[in-house]
Amino acid sequence: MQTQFRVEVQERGAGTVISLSGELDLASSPALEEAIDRVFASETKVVVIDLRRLEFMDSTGLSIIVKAQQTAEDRDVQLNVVNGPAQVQRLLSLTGVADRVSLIEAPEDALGGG
Amino acid sequence: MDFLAEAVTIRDREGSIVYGNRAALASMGFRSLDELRSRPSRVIMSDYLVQDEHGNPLTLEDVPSMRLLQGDDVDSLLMRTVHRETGELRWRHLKTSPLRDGHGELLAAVTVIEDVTAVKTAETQTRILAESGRILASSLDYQETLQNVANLAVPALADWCVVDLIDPQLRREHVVTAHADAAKVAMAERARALEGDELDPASALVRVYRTGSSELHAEITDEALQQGTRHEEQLHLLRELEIRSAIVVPMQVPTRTIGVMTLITAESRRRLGPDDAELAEQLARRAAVAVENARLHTRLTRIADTLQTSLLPDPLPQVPGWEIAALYRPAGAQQRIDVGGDFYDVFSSSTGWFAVIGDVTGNGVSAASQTALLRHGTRFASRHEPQPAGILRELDDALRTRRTQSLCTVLCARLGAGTVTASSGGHPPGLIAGTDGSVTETGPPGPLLGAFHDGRWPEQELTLSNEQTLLLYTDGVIEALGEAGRFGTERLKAFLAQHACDAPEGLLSALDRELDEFTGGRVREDDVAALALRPR
Repeated sequence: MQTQFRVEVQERGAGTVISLSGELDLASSPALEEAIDRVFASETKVVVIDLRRLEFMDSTGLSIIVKAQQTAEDRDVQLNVVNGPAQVQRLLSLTGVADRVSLIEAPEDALGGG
Repeated sequence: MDFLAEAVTIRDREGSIVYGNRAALASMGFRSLDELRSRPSRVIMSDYLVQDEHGNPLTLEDVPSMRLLQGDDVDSLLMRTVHRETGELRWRHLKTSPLRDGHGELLAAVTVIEDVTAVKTAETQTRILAESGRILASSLDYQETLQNVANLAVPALADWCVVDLIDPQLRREHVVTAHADAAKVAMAERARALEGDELDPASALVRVYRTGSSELHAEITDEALQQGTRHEEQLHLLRELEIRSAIVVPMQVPTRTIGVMTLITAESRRRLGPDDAELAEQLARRAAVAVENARLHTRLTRIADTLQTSLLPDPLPQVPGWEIAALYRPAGAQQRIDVGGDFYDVFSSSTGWFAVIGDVTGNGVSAASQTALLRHGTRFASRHEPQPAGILRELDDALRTRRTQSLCTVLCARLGAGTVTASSGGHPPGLIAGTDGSVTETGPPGPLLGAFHDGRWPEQELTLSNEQTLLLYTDGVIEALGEAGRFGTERLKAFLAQHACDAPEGLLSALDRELDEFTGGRVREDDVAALALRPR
């Protein structure tokens, strides 16, 4: 059935990684919003949102990512997204978000060797 | 025994009181034992209205000392007395024991009388306030709860309890008249009907309503009654009711006074006092809050219903050359929210006929209000912009300038004679199902609306035969969650392949059933909307 949503924030190398797992939807999205707000408040210069272990994402999760992209641009922060499984990829690409965020293969690609 | 605080009396076998200590004499208002002995008990009792704690009238025969002397096995009684002339209420606890001679013969009954007025009154007040709190919180039907609260006050506090709600124009909405005797209620309502609902500015009701200050009328004279009534019949009725004493208190909420509560004593002969006024004020305040809450709830519900009705999709028009059906199931139906973030619209404008489907992130009322903007925006744009891609561009523009709006996806299609020109802004692709079992997707989408600066929306022109049905839908369909996981696009395509021969209406009914079965009837978390279109 539905897996519990979890968000983990970890400082690594030059920036911060936000790892998501489980299902991201209307109910679980506030937890992600809170984490993102906290990370931006910490003044880190590089942020990676890792979707690899996300099992499902709907439009609420999507709009949080889009807003995070806008905030990153406003604050001159580099935002990267590690793409997730098939459903997540499909949603990102259908909505054009995949073309407008920096998609990377793994967090290390943005954070350097650390 | 004169040093005892409690009153003690001794009654002989003949039923006469032969002794009373100083406390007894004082409580009965006698200056000497001789004075007490000169008045028969029955006469003394007739000065008072005597009842037990349940309100049942008591006679001399019920008094414990008398019953003991008759051979009954009894020892105590709680007695409530109201002095007919002064209107004073007292509670007394009587405890009686036999006095026997050396042979065990009953000589007399010795009664100790403890005045428990203060305790009993406090107990009554606490009980009434506690109960009233519970009653008022129990339901939003304030007619019902106020009636129940008034029934609490009567006859414990007073013989009558009346609640009137008053508007700033001094018009009265009568809510409750309570009295233990239903026949008397009818009389009182007759008197009230004569008075009418336009209140006299000189009346106590209006004074209390305007000033927010309570009024205690401890003794209501006949002159006062005459002054307060406009009709002969009204005066006559009030006289018949034997009104003695009244308290009028405001029903207040923090911002204003909404009405007035009146407590009146009559046949119980009790004279109301400042303590009663204080209790009445507390009761009235609670009642006011309950009424206000209920009204607020009704107002809000009405507003919500009105807004929701305005946000619901219009009934589908007849589109020349097309057979069209719609499915609309907002999420959260349990919370009385009948609108959501999904929307669809089918309309004609100067540039042609259009079908639109869209999805605003989130659901509930705020998402629903945004769908209204999108629906109107689409119709407006279509007046000068015939191309779906151009319409999406305008919507995107409008949304982008307002960062706080939710993101949305929209699929916009212009309908021609067997042709569809479609453009999608991040929306799930439309599916074309043929009776030959084929299912194809509509063209590549542009980005969702309201997010990015550089959006470009490709347009696709499709030709459909009357053997083909175009299904437009929102992600609530493919994301529906069941035991087997998400419904998904593959399942939807399989469904369509099976139902391609159905007319649009039948196809969507079947889809609705299929989704219900798939989700096991569980509450939908996301809105579902779909349009099925087939050329005639």
